[in-house]
Amino acid sequence: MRRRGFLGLLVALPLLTGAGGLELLRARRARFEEVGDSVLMTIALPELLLIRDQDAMASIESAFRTRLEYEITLYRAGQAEPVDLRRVTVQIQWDPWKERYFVETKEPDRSAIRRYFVGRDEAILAAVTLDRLRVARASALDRGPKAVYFATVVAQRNPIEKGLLSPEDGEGRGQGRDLSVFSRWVGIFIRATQVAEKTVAVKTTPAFYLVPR
Amino acid sequence: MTGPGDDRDEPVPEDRSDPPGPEDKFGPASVPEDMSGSGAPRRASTGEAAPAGAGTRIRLTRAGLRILVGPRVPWWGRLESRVITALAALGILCVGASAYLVTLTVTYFDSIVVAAARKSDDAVAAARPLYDGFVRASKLAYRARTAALARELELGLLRAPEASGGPEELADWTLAALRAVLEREGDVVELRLDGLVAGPRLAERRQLFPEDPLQWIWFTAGPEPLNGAPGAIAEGLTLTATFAQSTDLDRRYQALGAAKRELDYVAVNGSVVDRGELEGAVFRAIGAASALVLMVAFIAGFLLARATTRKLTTLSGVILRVAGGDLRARVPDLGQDELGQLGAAFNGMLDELDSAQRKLSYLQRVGAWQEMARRIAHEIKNPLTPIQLAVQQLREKDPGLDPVFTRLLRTSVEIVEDEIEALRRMVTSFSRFAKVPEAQLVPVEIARVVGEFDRAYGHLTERETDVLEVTPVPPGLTILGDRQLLKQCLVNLVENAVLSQRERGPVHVRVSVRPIPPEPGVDPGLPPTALELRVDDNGPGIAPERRERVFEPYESTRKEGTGLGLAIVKKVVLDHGGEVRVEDSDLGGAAVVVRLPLYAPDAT
Repeated sequence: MRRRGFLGLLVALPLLTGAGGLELLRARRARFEEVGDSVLMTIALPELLLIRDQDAMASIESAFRTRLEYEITLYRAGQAEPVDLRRVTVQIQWDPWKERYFVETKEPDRSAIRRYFVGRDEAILAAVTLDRLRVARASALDRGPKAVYFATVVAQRNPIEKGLLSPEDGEGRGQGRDLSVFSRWVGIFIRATQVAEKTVAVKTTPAFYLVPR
Repeated sequence: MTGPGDDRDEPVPEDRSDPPGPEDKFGPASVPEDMSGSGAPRRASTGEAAPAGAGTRIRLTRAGLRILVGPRVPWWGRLESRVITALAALGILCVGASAYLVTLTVTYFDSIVVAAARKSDDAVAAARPLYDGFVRASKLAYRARTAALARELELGLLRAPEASGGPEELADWTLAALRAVLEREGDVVELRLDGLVAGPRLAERRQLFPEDPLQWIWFTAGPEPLNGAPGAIAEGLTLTATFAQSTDLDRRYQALGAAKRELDYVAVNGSVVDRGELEGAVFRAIGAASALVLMVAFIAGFLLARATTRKLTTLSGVILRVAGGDLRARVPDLGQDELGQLGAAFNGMLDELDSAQRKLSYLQRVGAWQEMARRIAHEIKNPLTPIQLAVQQLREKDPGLDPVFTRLLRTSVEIVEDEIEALRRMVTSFSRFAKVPEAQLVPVEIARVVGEFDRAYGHLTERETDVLEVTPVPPGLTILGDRQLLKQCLVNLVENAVLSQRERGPVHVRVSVRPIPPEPGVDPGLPPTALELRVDDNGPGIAPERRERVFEPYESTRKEGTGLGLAIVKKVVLDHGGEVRVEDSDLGGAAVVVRLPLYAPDAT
């Protein structure tokens, strides 16, 4: 019986982890405001670009552009379908010509907003903080304490562009085909794939609701 | 022959506690009872026993020989286990060595890649001060150019007559001068002159060089003071210049940074993987592939070893059965390899042994019959003459007074004389059978034997319709034989054939000799080793189930037959080291086939 139970647990493990996937997101405090028809969110993800991360700091100080991609999804509690989805791209870079840092925030279909900073740490703080970002239209949300919402934020630092990677060999015949087969074989044993230099995924807490009018 | 009494010769206790093993499978228990000839239980007849603690066991064969059987082998000591273990060890060794070499290779090339990546990092790091230097130098150059433009404007202010006019004239002049400079300098976006009493003057072409990360970088140099202007029209005159720098270099520098970031990643099957993770995946893949190869090799080795050792086990089992006295045991077909050939050779040896045993048994039986025939002939032959004389005397002394009595007496005497004659003929046959001499073997050509037979016995019967056909004998067929006995055999065979057909119609008997061609699989170039002497007839033939029995003494289907002719033939043939058998004849009757070995003077 114990063995059967263990096997059952093994079989159910993927389902359990899948169902609890959202719960694996770390909780993060966020502030939500209703301004006009917009719901604004303020959240900070400092672990995305840590000052003690020497490689990341070296990259910034070398005047290389650092790109931060945010994907903000708004959910209503108890529902799996997202209510709203926003993407924001933030770039931070040292401008050696003007000897200052600039942080550029860009949303699709909107013009970019540039902010300038003399100090690096201020610029980094501005880059890793989504300040009063519009996450939804208030008119699209239900009001009252029964309509509770929360947001998930998936942030990536310098997402890897596959186009920059060296192309895979192994197509064709003979040895090339063998290489292709070997590549697929190796692919089976890859445990973790990489999509960015660093990825942070959080779930906002506490949840919020719009006050009834 | 072995009997229950054999056990008395081996006072070792029976070991009944042994678990059943391979030798039990093929051992004494499987030997048929009828082979023992005694009806005794198998274990009693073979006398299997084991001395306590020695590990070895002693078996008694039917012939009473003691054979030592080794101790029961544990599974880890068996050949199969050893071969499998050896193959597995070899497989592990080879695959392990290959995996280790591959691991070394991967590590080696990864270290090379890491070194290359580090060099690339160093190259990118070296590019950074270059870029910084370029920016600094550019900025210095722009500042220097701004200073130069300021000096140029100073000179213009000193030389131009309009410059000595009022503030408005000076302002107009300076604007024109700024525009002229702007036209002349290709990368200047804006020139601004501050400190004029009439207000600042600006010459610009921003639309032509928009400040955009994808097109132009603006750099502003100044304010650079201008000296020499009259104080009434200008106070603290300064020139500020904005230059446009192409973003090409900056874009390339950013691309360098992106490439540097990608150095640590590779694409595998469309997924991006960290190089360290890829190295681990390669190791895991090699390990899994090695395990798969090892598993396949192990299974193949296991099957191969099992197939091989199973043959050995089978062979060993049959040998044990033969050692236990079961000469009918045969090795099944084990294939075409060496073990298969060994099994076939062993079977051939057993066939020879079986044949020799049957010959010996037959000769023993014939010998016994000969002895009995000799005694019977002796016991019967002696009183026959007195009996015949007595009845002849009775017939002669009859006075003939009573015709009825005389007739009865003569009839009785004739009957007695006929029976005496029959007995005499039988005794004569017995005597001839009992007196079949031992063969005196000398080299003799079979053609001579057949020729002499043909000359002496060429006439079968008085009848014209009867045919004795003696086919020409190939020359050079020499055997070790006794000419007289062989002729006697031919006579017996031909007489037998004639007698079997004589009352049914015309007789046709054919005597032929041919060398036996080599058996299939033997080099056809080798000379024949035996000949075949055939006597075919057109008689009624012999049913297959009787073909063995017809050679037994006193086995005959004819009323007047003694059943000794074919027995004598077989005895003579066996004495010559040959074989005899009966088969169907193309003449419609039976064919007695005698196989005799050819004489080979060089053979040992």
